[in-house]
Amino acid sequence: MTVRKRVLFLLLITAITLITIDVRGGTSGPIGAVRSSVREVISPLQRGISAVVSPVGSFVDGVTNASDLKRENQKLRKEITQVRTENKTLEAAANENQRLRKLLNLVDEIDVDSVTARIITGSPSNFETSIQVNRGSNSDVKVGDPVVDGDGLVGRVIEVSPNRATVLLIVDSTSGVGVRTSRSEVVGIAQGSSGSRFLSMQFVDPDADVKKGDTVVTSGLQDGLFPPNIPVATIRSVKKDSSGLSKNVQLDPIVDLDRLSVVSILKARR
Amino acid sequence: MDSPSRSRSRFTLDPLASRDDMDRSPILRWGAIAFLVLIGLLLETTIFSSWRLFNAAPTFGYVAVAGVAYYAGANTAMVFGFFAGLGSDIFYRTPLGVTALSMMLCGVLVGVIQTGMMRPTPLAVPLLGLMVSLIGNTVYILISIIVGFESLVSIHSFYAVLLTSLMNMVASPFIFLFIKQFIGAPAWKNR
Repeated sequence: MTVRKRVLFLLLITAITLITIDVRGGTSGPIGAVRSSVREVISPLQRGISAVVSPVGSFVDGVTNASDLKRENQKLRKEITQVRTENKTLEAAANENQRLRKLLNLVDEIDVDSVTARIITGSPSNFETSIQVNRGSNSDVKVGDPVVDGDGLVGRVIEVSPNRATVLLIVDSTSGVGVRTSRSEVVGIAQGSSGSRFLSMQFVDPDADVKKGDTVVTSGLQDGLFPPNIPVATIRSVKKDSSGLSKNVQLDPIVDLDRLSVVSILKARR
Repeated sequence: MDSPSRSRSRFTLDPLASRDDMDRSPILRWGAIAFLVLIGLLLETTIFSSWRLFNAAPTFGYVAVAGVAYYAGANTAMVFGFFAGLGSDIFYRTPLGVTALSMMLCGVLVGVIQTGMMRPTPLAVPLLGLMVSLIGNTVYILISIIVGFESLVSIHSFYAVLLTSLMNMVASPFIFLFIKQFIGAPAWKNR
């Protein structure tokens, strides 16, 4: 056997062994711990590089998405006018809501402790949608904690080391969030899909009252993982499923997941 | 005139080379590879991952492996690919070793192809960049699916592989140039 064949064989066996140990051990296994420690060591370097090159990244992003930005700008201008009108109505509704809450002696359920975190890096690969943030177990961040920004739900923490955490975005194909429509209280699961920036609402009754433009918020039914009433998405389209057993509801996330810079990590209720 | 073995040793970075072939000390050669892996990894996880076109980011790691295979041969590329892939795996959710395996196999493949090249053509580098990206990313997806990441079976994966390979193809002349500056003359010249 030549040196090349011997080394190739050795590396093949090493790779297969590592894969097996990692698959069996998961994030709590020995490889999970090594991975977490290496990420922890490298994250200051990543932060430094990101800070230096972010203007270049923004430029490239601006060039490749210029037409999208123009369209988005026009859409936002229209929305501002609409929102200003709605805001006045909502103020009155919020006041009324406040009075009713007091009357019923309800606790404001979104009122949970939170930690503010800055994004270190975005998705590292084409086949997963996660971000790294600069807060970890030293800031009492735990696996499962929901992550939000000013607009709504971003995702949940899936891996933590002392000064860094990985957040799985809601659009990832392995993410599922218990949701309900805020207008008609129809419940379902907002499921991400591989690679796209959209969600689909699963398990929606074929006769359910859902319309394009409806806002979808967390239902709070998912064993307490996400507090209720956090905005998640708006309904992009509603179609009848070919089987006729459910509705095919496509959602647009409320948060612009491509332009995140600062997020809040909520303390999950356990 | 230099003897064949002398001219091979001038440029070799092969960590598996025998002691007689070495111009640089093993520490320097391994250090150079480790430095290249670290720099590549940092750039890949910070800058390049944000250069997205239709939600697909380039995966220059595969092109770097092809570059190392082209200029330094299959042995170096095999080791470089394994450690570069292992470094990338640290940041991915797929099991540790999946990217290492796919990059290592790409290194061997390109290394074997370059030994059969009589002379380089202007299209050789972009074509190698395209080929290694298509094969590497496909192998990565296949291994990931085998170990339980069924969500990668999607039309997006197909588009992502295609787009990322095209981006890699465009960038490969620049990456090959960098690798050449870093590790020396082409391996085909050293034979």
